[in-house]
Amino acid sequence: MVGRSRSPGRGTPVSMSHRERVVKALNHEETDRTPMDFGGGPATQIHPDAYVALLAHLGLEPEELIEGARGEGQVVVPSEDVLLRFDVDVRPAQLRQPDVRPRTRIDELSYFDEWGVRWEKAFFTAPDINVEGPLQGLVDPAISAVDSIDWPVPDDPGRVRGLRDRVEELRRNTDYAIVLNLPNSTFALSQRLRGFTELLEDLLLNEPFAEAVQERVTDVICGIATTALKEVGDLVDGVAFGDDMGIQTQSYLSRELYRKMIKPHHARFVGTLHSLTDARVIMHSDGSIRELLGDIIDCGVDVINPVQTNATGMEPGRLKAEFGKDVCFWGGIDTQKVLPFGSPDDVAREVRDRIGDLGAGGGYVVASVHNIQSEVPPENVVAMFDTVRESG
Amino acid sequence: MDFNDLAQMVISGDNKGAESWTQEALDSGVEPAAIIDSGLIPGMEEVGRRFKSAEYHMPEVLISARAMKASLALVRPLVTDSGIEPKGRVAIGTVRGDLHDIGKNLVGMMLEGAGYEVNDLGANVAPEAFVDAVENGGADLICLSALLTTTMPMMNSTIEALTQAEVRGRVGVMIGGAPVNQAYADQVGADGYAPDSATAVEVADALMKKRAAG
Repeated sequence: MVGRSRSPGRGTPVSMSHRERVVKALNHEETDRTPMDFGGGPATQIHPDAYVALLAHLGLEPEELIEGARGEGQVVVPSEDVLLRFDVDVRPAQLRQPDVRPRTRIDELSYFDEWGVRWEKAFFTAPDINVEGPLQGLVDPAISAVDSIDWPVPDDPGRVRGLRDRVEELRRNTDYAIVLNLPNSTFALSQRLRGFTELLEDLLLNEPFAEAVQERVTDVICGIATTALKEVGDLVDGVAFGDDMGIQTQSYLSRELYRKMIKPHHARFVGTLHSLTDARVIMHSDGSIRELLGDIIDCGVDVINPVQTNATGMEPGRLKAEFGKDVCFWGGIDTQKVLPFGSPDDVAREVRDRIGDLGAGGGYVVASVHNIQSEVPPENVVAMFDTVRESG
Repeated sequence: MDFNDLAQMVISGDNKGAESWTQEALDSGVEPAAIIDSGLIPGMEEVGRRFKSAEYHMPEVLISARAMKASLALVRPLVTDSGIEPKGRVAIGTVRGDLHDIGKNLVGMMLEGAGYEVNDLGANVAPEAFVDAVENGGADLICLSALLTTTMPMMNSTIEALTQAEVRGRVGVMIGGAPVNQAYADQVGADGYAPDSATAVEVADALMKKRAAG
């Protein structure tokens, strides 16, 4: 056991284990200090350029980089040395590639995933973007078209090979909170299969087909979640999935359309998770989602990530006042302006402000709003995490 | 024929209705340019207004743009043949290194719906392609999009390439994208910044007016 949380040479006195701190915060209780995440939950990892600069700044030896959740070259998992330096409270548990149709590289910059979706990036360290799905290009398709493609095998043993051993080891040898990261959910996956514009048009113009695609996607992800949680549902403290529902200025869909076409799938998926584990369910959605947040909470989501505070309607104080009793917040440190372009003092102020508004009475885990981007100065990364410990 | 009917078909995303209304109008001798000016533009203006006020979301906007395009596909060749100049020529693209194209596509649709001729250069567009769109494509306006803080500096590089090629004075440059703001537009020497697709039309109109005033 690592034992009680350490605060090497700085910060306020601590009295809780890392896990206890996270679990209590997600139970809307006050903690000795606000918990923080770096690389444990969804989209909290770091770009390799920023990571290499951070290692040098911290006086740590260069490391062999561990590929992050987004694929080679884009984000890395921070090493245990770095997490110890910052006293990060969370550690991730990740699924692996399936045995049937694992990620298949086309060339250095593109690949197919197990859904048959083609991904590309513009240069090695740029983010992968889904550029073509197997249902894209069909004009006014009939429902039967969903049977024309190969679907992932939910209980493929490759996904969970070694998972229980890895998580048990974390549980035995450390006191960190553990988050199991699952694949994306219904809306994002359906968009990738059908194409972004095509799916949004189908939701209004070809409802039966949109519904058929989404129903099948939900079947598959419920199956994947079941496969994973049967292995480690008793060992993890959080289970996370992503489904982006917002753009910078508003939600993708109106509340009415969300309720009609997406909410039943989110409710089924989140219900499946709760039936298999006592862990808190963490949903990641970028953008402005205030319009949908009440319905998302209705589906059984316990924690919302990343709280994109500079999107329209996402002012943290207002969100906390309106939804803070019913949902916890995970994220909130701005990655569009403050982390890349602010000073360390600006970052420290941002962290203190978020602890003040989102953290009041518990219910908050500090993390960057998205993966820390390439140009974020190491001084700002240090300011973010050190301020958490100094603020209590 | 009542142009308001066409505008309403655009607003409600009635693709087939807009197409058959347009065909009927052309058959009965309605001026092609009038279909754009009195039906499509007011329709898309209302769509932009509703999107800006969050009354419309992306699905509604996308089906409206589809209806607008169905009508425009019939009208555009006739307008071009008659030698009538569009309101302005726009070359739009996401800068090199960035494959995000949703915001860029929305801005392109709104500009097209406002009467601009839109040359969509796609995503991951090299600075030289924008230069070419000015030199050989006759673009009046260049619209640059970036979603990533990492690719924002490519806006600066693209503007520098326009300057190097000595075409910067011939073209207005607008920028947009989540991490971009007015201060950044000022810093890289862009002529305009728009936070959303409806505002992009207003900024484009203002730039065209400024250019006309010379």
